Amino acid sequence: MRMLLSLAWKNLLRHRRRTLVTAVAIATGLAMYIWVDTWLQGVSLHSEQNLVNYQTGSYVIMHPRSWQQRKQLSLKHGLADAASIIAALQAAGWTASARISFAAEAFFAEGSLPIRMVGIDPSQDARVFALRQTVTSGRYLRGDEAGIMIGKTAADNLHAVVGDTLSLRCRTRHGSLQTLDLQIVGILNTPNPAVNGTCGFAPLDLVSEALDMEAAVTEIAVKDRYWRQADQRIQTIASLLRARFPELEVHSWKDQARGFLAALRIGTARSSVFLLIVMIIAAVGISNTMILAVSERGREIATMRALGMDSLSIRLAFLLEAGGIGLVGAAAGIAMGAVLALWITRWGVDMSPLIGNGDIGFPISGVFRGAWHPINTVYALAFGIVSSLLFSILPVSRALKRDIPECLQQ
Amino acid sequence: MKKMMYLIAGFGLFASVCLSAITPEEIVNNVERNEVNEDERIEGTMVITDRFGSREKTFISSTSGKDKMLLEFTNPEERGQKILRLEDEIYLYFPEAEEVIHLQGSALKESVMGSDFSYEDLTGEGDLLDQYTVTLLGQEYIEGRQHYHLELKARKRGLAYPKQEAWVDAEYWVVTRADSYSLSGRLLKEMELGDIRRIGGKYIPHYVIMRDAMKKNSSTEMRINTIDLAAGVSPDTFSLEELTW
Repeated sequence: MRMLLSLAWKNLLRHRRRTLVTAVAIATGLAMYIWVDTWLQGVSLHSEQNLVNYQTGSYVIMHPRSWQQRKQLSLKHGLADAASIIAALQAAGWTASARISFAAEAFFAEGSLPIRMVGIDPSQDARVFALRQTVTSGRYLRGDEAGIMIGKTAADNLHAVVGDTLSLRCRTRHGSLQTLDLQIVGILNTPNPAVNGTCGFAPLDLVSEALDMEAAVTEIAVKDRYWRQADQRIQTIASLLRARFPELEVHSWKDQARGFLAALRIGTARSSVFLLIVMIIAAVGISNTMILAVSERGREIATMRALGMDSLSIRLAFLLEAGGIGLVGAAAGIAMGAVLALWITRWGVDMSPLIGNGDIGFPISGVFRGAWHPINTVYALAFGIVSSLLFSILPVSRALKRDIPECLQQ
Repeated sequence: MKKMMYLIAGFGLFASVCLSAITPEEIVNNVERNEVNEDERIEGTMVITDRFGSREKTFISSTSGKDKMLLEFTNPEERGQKILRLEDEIYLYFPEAEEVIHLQGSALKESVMGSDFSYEDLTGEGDLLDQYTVTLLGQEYIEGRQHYHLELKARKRGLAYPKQEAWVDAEYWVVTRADSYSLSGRLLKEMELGDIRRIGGKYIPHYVIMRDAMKKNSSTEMRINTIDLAAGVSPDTFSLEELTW
């Protein structure tokens, strides 16, 4: 075995150019794979974070009819006793905040814009959502004022700045037309383009009175540090509600973001196909090189056979050589991929010149950061070595079947 | 003699005050009596103006009483599109898709063809005196004509316009101006009606303009080109089968 290893190593050094070319092909393919995978993982991870931190919360408690009509932002079926529900949740260690979500039309100089308005208790809401940290102009909302915070994109579309008065037209709970004149106190620039483009936030008490809600709210948002395990942990809240508020339903952020998650799965599948193509290209490079390597060394193989080396040893020698190329290429690929992954996770890529504040279907905007997925790097390493091994088997087998004299005359 | 003259003058004044003491309910009833026709067929034009410019649409409308209306657009862009109203129900028909859409709930609050009228406006709000408390604020002269100035306040929650003001021509019993307000008292829409003509014993405004008071340069004008008050519209006209025909 030591002799074969030594032979393989010497052959790698002897055919330096070929070794280098093949290793570079493997390295490039793997580096691309790691970089793109890191990027995609980041898009997925940050999209989910931005949904939970700025839009959905970890869980939402609603009346069942309200949940069914959530896209229409219906006010009809509210939660009448929000204070008791929140008290019960807080007693069990959860952080929760009441909200009233409703549709409105915001008026500006040249026309109007549909806007999703949310009535919030500013201090309580700041414990569940991360809006406070995203105020880029003005200040965070107070509960006792006729003020509004809007997203940056909405402000740009409305040509509005802090201090301007925004007129809103909406419907009360019973369907009457209502208007609100609110002063813009803050402009938010969140990483979630849906919030930036279509949302406004006003004090809960003011909204409740204006919409004739009779102290009802449309939903209660709940925070959970372990929101990624929402599927398991939601049962705790569900049990709590079943005991005291059996008419209500709790839904996780995943239930609220089904459409986005489905789109993400499609996007991930599409990207996996892209990655597969990248790996196939790398594999073609590897196989081409190995076929050439074995074909050119027919005399060498025949000589070794003539000197008494058995087929298994010859096969093993070439496998070790191929494995060596794969190892060198994979190591280089992982090193290059690590540098790219570090760049994209640490600093990210600012996509705003390309997409501006537009909504590209993912709840992320501005700087795209990656998220390194270690297991995929292991897969990449394994692929590099295994594919090199595999693609050397066939050419060696073919060479071993030929007559020794025929090969020596080659 | 002097005493007699004072008595006669006093009596005349008293009589005239009594005769002019019309109640707001009577004004509303007179208006509704003038408005509602058994059958009616109208050909008209609608001009919608907003920040993108003006768009003109033509239509034929058939109505029967207060609760039934079929409106069909005849301009090239929307030819064949229909709106059917049966009491509080609205149905839309799109010939290209051969599809009938039943508007319900919040969909009724949508604008008709991008105009300043909503589908809710088309359904009307039922019997005005049932829905609103009507108060006579006084009498005013508009363009030399005497008008009754009415204030309507919603009796219950849920009416689109919690408060409205109307100016009624005292001779024609036609609303020539109406302002609609939000719950907080802000002016939402202004409507003016003009070009009033006497047809078949009734006074019909041939021109309406509705303005959205919250938007700049947003208005919808409707003009009646021809009207037939004895159209004899068949009841089958107001059916879902006829809608798709």
